[in-house]
Amino acid sequence: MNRSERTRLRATVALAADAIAPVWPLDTFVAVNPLLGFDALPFIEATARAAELFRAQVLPADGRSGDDARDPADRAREFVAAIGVRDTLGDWCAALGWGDAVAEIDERTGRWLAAYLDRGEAAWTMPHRARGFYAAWKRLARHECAATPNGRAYRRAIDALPDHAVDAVGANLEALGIPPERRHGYLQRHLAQCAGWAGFIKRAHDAGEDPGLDLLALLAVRTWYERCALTATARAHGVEPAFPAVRDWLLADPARVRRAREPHFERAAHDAAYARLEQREREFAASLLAVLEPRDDAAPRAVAAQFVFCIDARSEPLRRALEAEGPYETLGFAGFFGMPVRYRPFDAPHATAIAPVLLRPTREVGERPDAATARQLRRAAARTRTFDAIAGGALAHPVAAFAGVEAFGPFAALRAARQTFRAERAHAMPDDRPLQLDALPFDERVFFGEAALRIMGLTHGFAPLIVLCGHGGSTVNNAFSAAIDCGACGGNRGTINARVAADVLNAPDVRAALVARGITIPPHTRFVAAEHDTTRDAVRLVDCDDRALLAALARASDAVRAQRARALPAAPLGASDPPARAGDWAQVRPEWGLARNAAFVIGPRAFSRAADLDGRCFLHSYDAPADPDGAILEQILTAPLIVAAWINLQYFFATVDPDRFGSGDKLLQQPVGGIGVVAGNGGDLRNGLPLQSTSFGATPYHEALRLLAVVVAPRERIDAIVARQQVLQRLFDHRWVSLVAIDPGDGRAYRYAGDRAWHPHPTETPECSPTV
Amino acid sequence: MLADRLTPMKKLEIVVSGEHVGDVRDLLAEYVSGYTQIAPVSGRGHAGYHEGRLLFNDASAQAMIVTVVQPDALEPLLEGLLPLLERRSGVAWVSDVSVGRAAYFAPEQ
Repeated sequence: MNRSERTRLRATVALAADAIAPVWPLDTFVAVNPLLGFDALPFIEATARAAELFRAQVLPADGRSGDDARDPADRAREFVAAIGVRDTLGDWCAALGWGDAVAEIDERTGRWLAAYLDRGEAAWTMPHRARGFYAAWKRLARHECAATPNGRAYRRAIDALPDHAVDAVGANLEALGIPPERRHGYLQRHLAQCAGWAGFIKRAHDAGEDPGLDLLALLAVRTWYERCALTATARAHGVEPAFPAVRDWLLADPARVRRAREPHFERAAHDAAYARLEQREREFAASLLAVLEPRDDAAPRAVAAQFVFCIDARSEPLRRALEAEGPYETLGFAGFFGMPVRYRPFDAPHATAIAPVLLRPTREVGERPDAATARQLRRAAARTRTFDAIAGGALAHPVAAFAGVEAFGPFAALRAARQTFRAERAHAMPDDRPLQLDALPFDERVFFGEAALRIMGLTHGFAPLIVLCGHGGSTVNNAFSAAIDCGACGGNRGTINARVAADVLNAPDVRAALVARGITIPPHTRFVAAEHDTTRDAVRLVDCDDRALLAALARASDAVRAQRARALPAAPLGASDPPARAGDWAQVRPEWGLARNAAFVIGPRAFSRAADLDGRCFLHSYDAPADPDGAILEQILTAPLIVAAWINLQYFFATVDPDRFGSGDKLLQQPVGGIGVVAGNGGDLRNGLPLQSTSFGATPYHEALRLLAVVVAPRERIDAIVARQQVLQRLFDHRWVSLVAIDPGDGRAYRYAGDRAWHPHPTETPECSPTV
Repeated sequence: MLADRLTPMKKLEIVVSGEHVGDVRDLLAEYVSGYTQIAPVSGRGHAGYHEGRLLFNDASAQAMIVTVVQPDALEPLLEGLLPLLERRSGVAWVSDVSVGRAAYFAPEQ
């Protein structure tokens, strides 16, 4: 290939990958819309396209059907037209009864990727790994068929492949006879067949994590295995293994199409399913808007403490319960508290970004323990390393493993018995060692401190105590533990962010600088951090022993726990109550997480305080009169709303197709290299929500509704923001998120109809009002 | 004349969404040794005004990449760059410039 052809092919692959959503590793599980690549299309069109590309169910009851009663000639013509549009030659093999080539390609490619992406878990690392994935594969795969009669020919064929992945993709497509005009769709379908691996590689490459692996390398290997699968089967039928020959063979006798493309997609049924979805969403919106109304307290009262909770829907029941306990106000703000940082625990080799996934934080915070604690920590780490080296080495060694099992087996058995009969402490409480903020420059502390206070609407009326409450879940033996942590912290617990924000806002020099910017925090006001454990329904205060407050928090937590326990299915053989579930190593559903989320209310708490929103709503504080130019609302709509929409759409699609857009049943999953799971022994990387996060058995617990954003702000202000933010135009105009504005003046609701048009929202409540 | 010591090159200024910067960098890798990236950038295009000032969202902000290539590299580079810009939001300008120390702009082998 010459330079022009190479560059054109690179662009073709980049564009084909637009349909693939990025995938993050499990330890920083990040919610993302699985159809993110289709957000330039209206929702109904995007889901129709995705249904065909991913062979997936995309709506609660959609237009898929296994029945295809058309004439064989019509089917054949459809197949030919679909090459490079909806099908690969691998897809053809299944339809022609030539075996499941796609599964074979997935299995063989997945095996090499799992070896390459291993994060130090395997005893033997992949040889030649430093050369990059394609080069390492080429050096090793030549031995794949060594023990077969074709071993020598196979080795020669691999050796003949070009040295660079981009050239190999070109050579393989040439050999398969795929014409240039069909390559975009052809490669897109290839990536869709392994959307998990492709999404992971795409994100990691863009983030600069591994220059040795990109989508071209993935496609070079996949198209090679496709060549192998097609060659083996096509020649057996006397057909040359290339598109033109197979096409002509098929058209010569359309009856050769043995099986219809599955699932068979019907647009009319899809449209009908979409209409049903819209109807259900209208019902939900009516029921929510019926309970959202401003309620001012009858008499002003002295506020003892203000709590700032994450916008997470799980905060809402606790906020309501806490407000009922006494003179406490609550606010909603993204759970990273406006502190986009990386965090490095003491002596840890790497820092972790604890910020929304939309950001790439560069500032790092660490820990500053005293000398004695530091010595203690280093000794403990050394002991752990030594034990791991001895035990790990003994168990990994081919010979010593036998003795290792004898030596360590009894201890492991005792541990297993203890874990079985006595729930573990799910999450060891951190020691809250002093933080090291030196790498966060003073002007940035002031900037982020001011931004956080303004966006959460806390610029005056400060209580004596302000609690910044991060959150995280507690679970053991759970590959998806990060999925129940804070999404605004990139799938991490939010406590560190809360502590950073408290440290920043308590600093006298920062407060002095804030006075110059119009925010005066009274000297007696103190910020403290806290952590809301969403699995056990408990709140821990960091460095605060206010007994009245702790008692109120305990009572509020008890109330929420009792309410939530009723929604959790009983565990016949294990612990059922929420705290015990957190420590049960056999528990596949420690909590429901964000299941049933359906709306995002952006406005003063007065609008939602009186309503029981049943944990279904994200809540963000917003005071429209304090934001005349809309600058604050713009930040809320372009960051927290997007994160909430991704969470909502992740739950939506994982519910309607748990195997394609979720990671399927937890009981069948096998962790791979610490980055994801596969079903059984191999195949595609599956990184969406597991079935147990959205459903109970075959019955969905999550209700698949698109997010309803309710914004208490003037419509003109929202219009102006949407007009200058393409990302919002796509969300609202294309109906990925429904939008309702509540006029702060008269309290009337208006539904956004697209293109900056609004209609008064119907005021009547449906007779069969669904629970909010 | 000192100007005789300059080498004619082609300058590219490319504005794309932050999420697509990586693809542009990958295309450029074969042709340039370096580039300048400016982000976020704001401005008005055929789709209206685009606000670049986003406090907590780097992915949706637009970025500008500025680089220079050898004149004979322009055509093959455009083979990949133009399809990207036709299918996605973004713009590019190409202009004639002259540079000193041309060896500094040669792509790495």
